[in-house]
Amino acid sequence: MTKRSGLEKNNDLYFIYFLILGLATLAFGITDLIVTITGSEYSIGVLNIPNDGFRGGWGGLIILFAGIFYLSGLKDLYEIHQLAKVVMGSILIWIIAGTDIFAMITESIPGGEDGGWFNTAQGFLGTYAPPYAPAIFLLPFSLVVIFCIHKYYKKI
Amino acid sequence: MKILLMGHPNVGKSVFFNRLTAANIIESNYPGTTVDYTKGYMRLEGKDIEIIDVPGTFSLEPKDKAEEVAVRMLHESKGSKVMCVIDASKVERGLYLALEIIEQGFSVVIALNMWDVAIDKNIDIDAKKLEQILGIPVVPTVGISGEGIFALVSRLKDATPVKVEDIVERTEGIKHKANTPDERWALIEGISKKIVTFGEYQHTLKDAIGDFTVKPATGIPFAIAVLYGFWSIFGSFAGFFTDGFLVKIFDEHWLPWLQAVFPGGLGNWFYALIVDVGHLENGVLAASDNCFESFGALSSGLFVPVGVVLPAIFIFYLMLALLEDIGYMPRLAVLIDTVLHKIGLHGYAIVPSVLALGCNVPAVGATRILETKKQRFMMMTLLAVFIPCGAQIGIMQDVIPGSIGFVMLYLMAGYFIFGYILNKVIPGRIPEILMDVPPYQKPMSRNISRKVWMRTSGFLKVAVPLVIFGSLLVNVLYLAGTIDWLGNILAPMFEGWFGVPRETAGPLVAAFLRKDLAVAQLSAIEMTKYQMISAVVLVSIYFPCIATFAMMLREGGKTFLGSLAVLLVVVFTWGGLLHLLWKLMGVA
Ligand SMILES: Nc1nc2c(ncn2[C@@H]2O[C@H](COP(=O)(O)OP(=O)(O)OP(=O)(O)O)[C@@H](O)[C@H]2O)c(=O)[nH]1
Ligand SMILES: [Mg+2]
Repeated sequence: MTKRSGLEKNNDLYFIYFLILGLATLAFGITDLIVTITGSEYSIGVLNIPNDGFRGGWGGLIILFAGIFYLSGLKDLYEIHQLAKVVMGSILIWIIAGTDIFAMITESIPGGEDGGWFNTAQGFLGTYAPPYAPAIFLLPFSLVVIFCIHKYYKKI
Repeated sequence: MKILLMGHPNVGKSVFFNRLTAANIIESNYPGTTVDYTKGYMRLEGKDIEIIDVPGTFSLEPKDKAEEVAVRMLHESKGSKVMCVIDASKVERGLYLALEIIEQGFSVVIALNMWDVAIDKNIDIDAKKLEQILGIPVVPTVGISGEGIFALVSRLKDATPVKVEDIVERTEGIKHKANTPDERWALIEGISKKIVTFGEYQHTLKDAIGDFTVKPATGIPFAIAVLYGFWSIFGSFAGFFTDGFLVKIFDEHWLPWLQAVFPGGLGNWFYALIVDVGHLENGVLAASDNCFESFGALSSGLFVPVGVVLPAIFIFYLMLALLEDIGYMPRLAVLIDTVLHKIGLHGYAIVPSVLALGCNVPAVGATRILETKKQRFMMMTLLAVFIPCGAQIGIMQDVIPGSIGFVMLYLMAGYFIFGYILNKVIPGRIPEILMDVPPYQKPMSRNISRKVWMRTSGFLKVAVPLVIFGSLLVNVLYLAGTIDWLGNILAPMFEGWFGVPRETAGPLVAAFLRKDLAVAQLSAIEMTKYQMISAVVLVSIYFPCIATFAMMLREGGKTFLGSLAVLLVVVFTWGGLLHLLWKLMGVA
């Protein structure tokens, strides 16, 4: 080995960060599955757990997987295969959050069955109002991996 | 002079072909994209030169039908020059084929393609030295950026036949000839020692993720997420255009306009064919208020392909192109390999299967990458029977959004169960293959947009005329009373065995032309949710559409009769079983 990865510095910090994120993700995934299986409605404040078979069931399962990816990759993050697992965890969250946001956008623009061609300004903005699904909340925290990738390639 | 583009699968031959000619060939990041040869013309020194994109082949002993085409092309083209494309990051493998071609007496130029990948991997190749040893032009190229292609073409004139003995001599240190595979490999090793140096190579993030996406424990969760994303985007996008805008345009503007300006009016047979057959309301003929029910060639006939199916097909092909070019498909193939082995196929069967979700026609062609007759027959039959095409899925999403998941699952179960049975009863072997997994790549917008455009416009050219013709035909049959007659004769079968209304006869006639049209017509028939599911399943598994039919006949020849026999068995068992299931559940 010639150079060391920039991720070796502050290794503990990354460990703690992804431990917390991983546990939170895991918890969201499990809640999502339970809510879907029991068929209950679950909405507190700005958080809404989807409970349909597709977004709640498959989506919940994928969030659970994301949590497992985080937890299995967080040790020795400067090792490329470990970093890769954490990155894959984030990619799973991006897929769920990304498709959620895409669905919101496609819903917000047309006027709906009885409306005009396009939505009203109010209706448009209303689509983006909370509550949001867990993946949306996880999204900003998952973006930290981009910083990690950057750090990894910056040799020290 | 004629030029053949030859080389291993997935080394960039089609990229070269598209650059050299003004043609458009599908290029994708997985082996076996091109399964038939394509001719094109290149202008060189004021002359048009024929150039042929040949399917990829590993050696001159063909192992599948696509490779057979390649070898046959070579044998039919004595005297032409061969542009041998080699993956520079795997020179040894490519040189084997090059040596075989040289041995046959062809004039060869070698393109060391993927030069950029070799540099990334710290592989250093002395192209000058290789040229000197082989005695033929060798040019480093990067297909995707076009680097080196001009130089390659300008060296074509320097290509002359060389003797392998001379190559052996120039390699030095090789004492024997190169007539057997072993001797050839020994020669290649000798050459490679002289020209290739491997530098230190560190695994990159791309490689690591590449590894994890093929290992089952990490790859399967990832595949689930990819399919989730695929389906979710597909639904949102198609819903945005169809429900958001196109339904409105067709139902509130196009149909009323047609009804107002078209001569004739309700009850007139010509008006019924073209615009609106109407429906009975308390014994009075009333105008339709949507394009699903009007059945006219210009109303339903346009609404189905343009209003519903076009957005679905477009987004499907866009995402498929992304997955193809990133290089995800071969990974999916490896992941599903064990499962598909149980039904006598192997992982690469996923390529025709996924293509079939877009359109069954190219999928039947793609079965050429499978090795044995048995596998090709099974694959063709299974996909024609059990895989609904993108057009049909698009319309199902609109007509039976709540039940589409079940329909897909039921069809998938059929695919595996009948695959298992076919594998047991059909004689023939299933060879093991080693799957080549290319590295992940950044997709290029130029290639993506070209592919999506080619496939989507290809769809429109076939679908629009067929749907319009199909609605005309079914309308004529209705007006002539043929459909009612057919429905009455077949009523015991429809109602007794399959548990669907006898009116299903009409859509089933339409299904032979277009499945999307058939599902649209089903939606106008009064029935329960469960009857609807049965009817949609019937439409899927009963005859393939006419275009697929023709392709199967072309690719399969006589085995097509076998496919038809299987199909009949499947329709009666799998269709009847669903009725039984409903009965057990107490809903039929
Ligand atoms: N990085 C890199 N990628 C390339 C280069 N040339 C081609 N590719 C990519 O390699 C993949 C395969 O290209 P194709 O032209 O479809 O390969 P082919 O040889 O025709 O393959 P088959 O039809 O399967 O035999 C595509 O994703 C191309 O974008 C190159 O020089 N560098
Ligand atoms: Mg090709």
